[in-house]
Amino acid sequence: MTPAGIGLDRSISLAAQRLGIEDPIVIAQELLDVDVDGLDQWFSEAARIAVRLFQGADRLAEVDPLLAAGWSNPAPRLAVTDQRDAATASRQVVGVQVDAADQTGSVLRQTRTLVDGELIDAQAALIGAGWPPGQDLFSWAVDSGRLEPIVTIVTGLTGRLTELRIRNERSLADLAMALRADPRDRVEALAVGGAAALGSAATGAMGVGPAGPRPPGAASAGSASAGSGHLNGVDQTNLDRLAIDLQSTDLATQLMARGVQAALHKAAASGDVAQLLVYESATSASQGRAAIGIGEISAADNIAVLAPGIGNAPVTMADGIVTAVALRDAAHQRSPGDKTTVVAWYGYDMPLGVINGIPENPISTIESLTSVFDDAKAQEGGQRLATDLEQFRQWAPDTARFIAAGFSMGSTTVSAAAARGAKLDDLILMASPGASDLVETVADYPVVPGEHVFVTSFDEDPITLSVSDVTATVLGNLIRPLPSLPDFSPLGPDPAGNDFGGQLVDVLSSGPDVSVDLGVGPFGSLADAMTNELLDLQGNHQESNYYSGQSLDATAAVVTGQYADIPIKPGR
Amino acid sequence: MAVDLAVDTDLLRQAADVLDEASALFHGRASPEVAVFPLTDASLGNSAVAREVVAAAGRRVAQAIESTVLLATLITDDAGKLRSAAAAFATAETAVPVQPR
Repeated sequence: MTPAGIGLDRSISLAAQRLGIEDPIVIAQELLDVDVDGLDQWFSEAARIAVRLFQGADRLAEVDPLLAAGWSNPAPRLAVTDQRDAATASRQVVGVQVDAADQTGSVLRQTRTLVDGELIDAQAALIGAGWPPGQDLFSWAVDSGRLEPIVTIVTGLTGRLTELRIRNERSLADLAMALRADPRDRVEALAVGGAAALGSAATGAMGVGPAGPRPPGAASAGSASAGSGHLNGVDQTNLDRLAIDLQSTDLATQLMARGVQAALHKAAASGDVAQLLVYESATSASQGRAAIGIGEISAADNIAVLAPGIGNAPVTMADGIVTAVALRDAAHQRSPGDKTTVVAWYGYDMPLGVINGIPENPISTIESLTSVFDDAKAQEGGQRLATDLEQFRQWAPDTARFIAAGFSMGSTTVSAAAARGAKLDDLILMASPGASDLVETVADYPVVPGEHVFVTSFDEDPITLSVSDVTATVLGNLIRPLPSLPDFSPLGPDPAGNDFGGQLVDVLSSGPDVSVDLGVGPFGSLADAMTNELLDLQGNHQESNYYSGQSLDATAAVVTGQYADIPIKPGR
Repeated sequence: MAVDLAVDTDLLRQAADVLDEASALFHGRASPEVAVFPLTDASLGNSAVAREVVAAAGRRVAQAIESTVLLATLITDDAGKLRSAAAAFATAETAVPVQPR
């Protein structure tokens, strides 16, 4: 790194460590490791695209006089003019992004040079202060009475490198802002709203009379959407199954089908495409499985798959549609150009849900209750989610980002899916009672790095606190056959913990502070106590609370990849 | 409502040719496939904003390419429609006898 080699760097690092300041060598290494060449290379590609857009738009301008002289109907000219304007708008977006990348690249490159210079200057200053290279810097400074100038040099180096890091961050923030614009916006609007103008003119001209531009918002065969035809086979098969189940004489099957149908209607009423991506009938042994996507999955830029917590089932999944729509709207507000599909995934047997699609009976309630106390359902669900995600990926564009978000036991489930290698760009664990026994830290996720594991746990939410694990262990052991020793983390580690290694999102609960008594009462009331704990935490442990306010906005920032806007705090 | 149409089919065909040229420019001479994305999650640093830039850079360039491909498709379609219209006008001209005014 420096002319003096490893010895100098190590000496400075050790001195910084003993002085209790941030290690300047670590900062320097991070700044030197920035791949400016990669950034330049990538945006030179973007610059070539901008040239293509410019040249194409320029050539389109030559069409105008030909059409003006060749056809008295103005519609074809207007259509071509719209296309030229869209190309110009797209080029402007790309051009701004290329310029911003150039600017950032210059700053990053200059920073590397400055870092080198700072390290050389620091070395010269240390030698000038009398330090003989090769000796332990801090010990020598203490022994020789030269601690003050050495402290000044090392802290000064850290300070200047920190300033350079801040400068880099500011420049990257400018580039991030420029990159929030979508170059497709005008072109796609054209394809949806105006592409057929020329076609209308061409067909209208044949004796039908003058043809005008089609009404705004009219459908077009030339739609930019990848089209629902790609997905129709799967979606239609699920819809056919649903139609059959609606006529079923089996109560569980029919009730679930009705619930899914109601959810589909609710999703369709949200103003977007509703697709039944997963459908498996409820039986006497299962509450069934269903997933509804809001937004065309085959055209999506971001796909967020939401797993609910206990107390849910496909028969009641219309409730989950409200959450999905809220997130879809928040994502759209953050990034209007991006197409975000939100999938309400009711794909695992959720404890304390409607049992097997029919009203609970005492036996099934006890069975379901015991399953709250370990992560078996979540692990099983995680495997199913990983499989479903693979299927969703086949329907989605190659460039689509995938995010799995789970609430409460749903967080345990999505964590289990990530632990089983689900290909995710981001993982969001909300109100998590534990990340499942499959992981100890984020390092156990084979695909998702810790920087992309976001944890939202309100401090007022008792389910996210370790006492819930202890209570679950004690109560679980009493209700079912006792294991030899209690497991004090039956649902896995607290992902909000500092040791876990995730990104703890710094947001406040919108709910009132609720006082919860977790005391263990007489045996006969244990089940009630636990059920009440889980069902009556109306204040903070509610899906609607996590999908509202600051928490919803932060979740939308993750879904749209706007990481710089996500407030992070140290783990618990 | 009857409307007089003034049409020059040769000019329409010329316009279609220019549209084809524009489409080729949008599409690019070579394959629209972009080079392999050279950046990884921490390529530009470990901060959230650095990761956001990496993720967005990959998507935006791909989306810019989508724009060019979509424009090329639309304009090629336009050219086809113009040629069809020109052919239809030419057929109509030969089928309808010119009326003295």
